[in-house]
Amino acid sequence: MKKFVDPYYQGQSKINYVFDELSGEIKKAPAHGWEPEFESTQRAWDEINEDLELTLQEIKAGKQSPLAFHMKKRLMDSKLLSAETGICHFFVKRHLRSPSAWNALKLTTKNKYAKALNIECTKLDQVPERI
Amino acid sequence: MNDALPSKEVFTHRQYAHCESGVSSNLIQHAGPPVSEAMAFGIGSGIFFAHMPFVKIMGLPLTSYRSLPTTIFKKCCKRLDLDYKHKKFSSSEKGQNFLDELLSKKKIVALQTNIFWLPYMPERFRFPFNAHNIIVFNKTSTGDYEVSDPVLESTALCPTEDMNKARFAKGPLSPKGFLYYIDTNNTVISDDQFRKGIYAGLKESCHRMLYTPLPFFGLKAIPYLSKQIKKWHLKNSAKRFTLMLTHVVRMQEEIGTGGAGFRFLFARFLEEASKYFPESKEGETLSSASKEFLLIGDLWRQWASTAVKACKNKSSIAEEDIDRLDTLLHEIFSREQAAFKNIHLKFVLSAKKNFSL
Repeated sequence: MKKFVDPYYQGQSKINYVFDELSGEIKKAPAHGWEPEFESTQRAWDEINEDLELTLQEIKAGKQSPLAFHMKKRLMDSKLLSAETGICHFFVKRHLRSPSAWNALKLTTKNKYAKALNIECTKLDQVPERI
Repeated sequence: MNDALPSKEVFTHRQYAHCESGVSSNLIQHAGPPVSEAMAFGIGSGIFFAHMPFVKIMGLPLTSYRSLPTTIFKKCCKRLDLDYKHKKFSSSEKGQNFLDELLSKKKIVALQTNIFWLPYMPERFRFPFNAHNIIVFNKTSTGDYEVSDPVLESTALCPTEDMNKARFAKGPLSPKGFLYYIDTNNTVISDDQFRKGIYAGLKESCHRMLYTPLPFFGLKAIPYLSKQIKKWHLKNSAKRFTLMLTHVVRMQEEIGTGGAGFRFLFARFLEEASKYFPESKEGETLSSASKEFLLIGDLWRQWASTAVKACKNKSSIAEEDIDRLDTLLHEIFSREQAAFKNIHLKFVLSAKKNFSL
């Protein structure tokens, strides 16, 4: 059987504890990935990417603001974004779903979002064509 | 680092399976006593099982194979009689100043961080998880921290801004700049102290696993998880169900657990611990329990690979796969229960008297 190597480890290894039959002891051994681990992580990322794609479409249709894309790109949800910025959850949700509310925002508020999402403020209004 | 310093001052990075017990082991070994990762994990009562549907990570219920973050280090130090200090901060400026001051005194400091904001991690393994532990051992003149992350092969650099972001991230279990370090150097731990630590660690682990009253914590959570899985299957679409199930597998395997949700690491601890009780019934109990936990670990891995195979088809789940998962989880439950009861009866209850702990 061919040994499975996780391409996302980027040549690095993790440590696993395995039983060593020679010495009869459990020892640390470098691991280069395991198929179920790879598949389950892949499943989680597929879900995130699908969601991002959907968000992009909704932004183009004017149903969500660009903030939603940048938030989801950083794997956050509205509650966490509210905690990071210190802006009330009610308003965060409003800024996410309504492009007009988002466009009417003051620069200081946008700066708060930019700081929380670790992005330049000018880039907050733009979204890429594809993820 | 400065070459003129004596060798003890130079920090050696070692790679380990799990972040917190690895950090604890690295910190303690820098201070003197040779405490391995497995010993730190066991003495700090790291092993646990919990399934909490009311705590959500990225919208999915939380399954944990270990005890609460930061408790492993604290308990391990208390039980081995090591002096440690820890601190939380109200603002990132205060946190950064305190850290820089410690580093200028050549202290080795461990930090609790959010793994998502650490730039040296491969992007695939970065997600908003607030309890990743790392060691910082130096600040370069360009303002980067030199980081020893026990999960990685070698040390890495992390810019100050990213570090502040990671240390002061919000959300569940937010670190609030939590840092900890060991204050004494060259302490010696006697075998007697080790025996006391092992006894205290196993006593707490057994109690928590066997006798926690609520269904979400301890061994009882394993059949509870099995029941929940059946419920997810009935109530959710196949797509959502596969996401939830693979999330449990991720928690078990991807996050540095040493394989099989810490069960292999725990087996290693039992093996090392048995050497402190030579030629006694207690030592035999521990080494046979170590073998048993290896088998239990294999069962967990079998469970994980069955679960992932069942989820290959995102549109429909076979009924017999659900049954297989259910039987596997119940087998794991009964074997872990027997193993912990065995440790409790034949080690915890008798070691105190026989070794005057």
